[in-house]
Amino acid sequence: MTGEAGAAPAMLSLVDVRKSYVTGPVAAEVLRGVRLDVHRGDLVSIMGPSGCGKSTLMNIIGLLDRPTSGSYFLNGRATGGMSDSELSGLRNVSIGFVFQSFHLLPRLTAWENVAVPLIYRSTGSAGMRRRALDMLDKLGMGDRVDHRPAELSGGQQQRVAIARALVGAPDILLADEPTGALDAETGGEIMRLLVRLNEAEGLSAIIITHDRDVARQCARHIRMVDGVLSEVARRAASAAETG
Amino acid sequence: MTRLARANLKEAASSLLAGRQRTLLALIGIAVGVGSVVAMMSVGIIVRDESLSKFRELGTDILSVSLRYAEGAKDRSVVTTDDALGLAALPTIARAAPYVISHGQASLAGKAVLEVSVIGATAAMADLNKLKVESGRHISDLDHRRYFCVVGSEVAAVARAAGIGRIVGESVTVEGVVYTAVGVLRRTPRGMRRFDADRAVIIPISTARRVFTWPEIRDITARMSEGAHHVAAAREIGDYFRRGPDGPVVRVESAEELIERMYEQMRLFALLLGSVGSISLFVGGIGVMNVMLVSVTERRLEIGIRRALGARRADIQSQFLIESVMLSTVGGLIGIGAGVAATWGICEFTGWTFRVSTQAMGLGVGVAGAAGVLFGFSPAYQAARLDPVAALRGR
Ligand SMILES: Nc1ncnc2c1ncn2[C@@H]1O[C@H](COP(=O)(O)OP(=O)(O)O)[C@@H](O)[C@H]1O
Ligand SMILES: [Mg+2]
Repeated sequence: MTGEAGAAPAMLSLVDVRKSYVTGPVAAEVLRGVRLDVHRGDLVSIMGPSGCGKSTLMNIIGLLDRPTSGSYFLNGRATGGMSDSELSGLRNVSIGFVFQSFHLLPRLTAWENVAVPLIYRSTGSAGMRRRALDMLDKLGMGDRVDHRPAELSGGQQQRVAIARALVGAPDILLADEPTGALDAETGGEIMRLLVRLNEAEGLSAIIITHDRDVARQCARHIRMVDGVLSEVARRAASAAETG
Repeated sequence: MTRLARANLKEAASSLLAGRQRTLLALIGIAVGVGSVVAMMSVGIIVRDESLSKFRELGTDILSVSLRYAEGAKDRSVVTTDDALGLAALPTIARAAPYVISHGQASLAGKAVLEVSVIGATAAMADLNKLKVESGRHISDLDHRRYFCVVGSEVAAVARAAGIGRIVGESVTVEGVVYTAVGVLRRTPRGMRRFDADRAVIIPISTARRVFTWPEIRDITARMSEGAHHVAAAREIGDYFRRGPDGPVVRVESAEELIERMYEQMRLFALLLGSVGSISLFVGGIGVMNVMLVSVTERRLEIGIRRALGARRADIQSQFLIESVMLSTVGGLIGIGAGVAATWGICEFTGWTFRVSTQAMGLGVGVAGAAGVLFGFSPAYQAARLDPVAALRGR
């Protein structure tokens, strides 16, 4: 992980990705030729007006959806021809999702929520609880492991959700407006947490946001307009380059 | 699968509890259905055992003949001992044992007192009823009109409890008549007999016909000739006793006929239970399907989340299948209880010997599980096929 971002092969690479939805007589093209390279240790923010296709892009990057055309390479592998089951497996090991409204399972405790991704691993259940507890501890939630989501504040729920996204050591964290449901202060804390994880541990992440302050904290800042991306800022501040 | 099962069990249970009324309806349907299946199979097994034991006790070739006289029947129409013994001359009958039966208080050596059946019998009685002596001897045809008796095992036990060590040679008084005991019977299961041999005092039929208030021969045990059919034998016996308008009404029962009747009864129960069971199972199954469909709809977001976290379609499918199997298995367990209870009730009604059949209970669990898989499949499949993006958006 040395040198400039462009030198090493990208961990994640989208080439001319298009996505259109057929609603009614015409097909609406939401993504119109997206190009994006993300390297290990990148912290990327994406801003754009509501309805411009940010979540659509995120779902494609997260392997929940497939592009209408174009290619998507993850760790050098083309994902286009993969079966649903292969995509699920890859999602499980490579992707960590964080959602705006947390999306914890209401009937499970904090640690059980964190352990859910591990259930779907073929590597067995050994140490599942231990790993979940360690991850919660790391995110400052060590004293709330047996609480249910309803017993936690929004900020705490989002920490549990981040723990769940990270427990399987994914290649990249995808956060779609992670602070959108939080007040400014709590949102700021969550953002600082992600930045710290990026700087200290080289966590790669793409963060969709409406908040200029949030975007500014990310080394790469991308705008999305009319279904295409344009990089507006790029600082040499990511963990890979400083480390 | 087991790892997943354990992780999902709690989730499944609480989700089922959330939809209480729907769940209850599904449970009742499955329970009644499984209960019927369990009862049906249990009754089948009980009847099979019962008929086997009847065959074993008496053999298939024994007939029980009963004669009923019209009130004020003329003397000449009454059947004599020799008439009854004459049955053996019929081609379908090998041996006949007429007997007369009465009830009364017996006292032994003036000490022990108990209620007994007094049987006036011929020598053939012991043979045809498979009675065995424990000590002494049976009544023989040489005991003609003598006051000898053979006592049943329970009668002997009461006597022994009263301190009478040797029963053979002891005097037994029944309704004021004194007999000398010549033998003691072994314990004998009751079987098809009209009396309990264990609580009987057997005396020569010639003696009984002098002593009894009602000496008419009303009962004959007969053994058929080899290869004879019980229907043919019954016809011959009927013809034999036909003596004009005052003659006795003849009824012939055979082990085979009893068993046939039992099977007929069983088929009736099976038909009833089978139809109730299949309808309930279907209704319960639809209930399970409904519960599961609602569960899938209510948990679209959960499905989306799990898919985003890496659950494959197969994982989602098995999660919901486990849930429906769990639901129907709980119904099945309740149903097993109900089925055992129903079996007990049927046995009370028919007089069959109740027993719990593990085979039937196993079948109950199997049927419940199968219903869970069958009716849970479509909802589980729908859950698995949900588009994760749409599910996450709550659409
Ligand atoms: N399943 C779908 N069918 C039709 N249109 C869709 C579908 N999903 C998203 N869209 C449309 O695509 C556009 C982009 O949506 P989205 O990616 O959610 O935007 P953003 O996250 O940037 O607000 C919107 O106009 C939305 O209505
Ligand atoms: Mg969005």
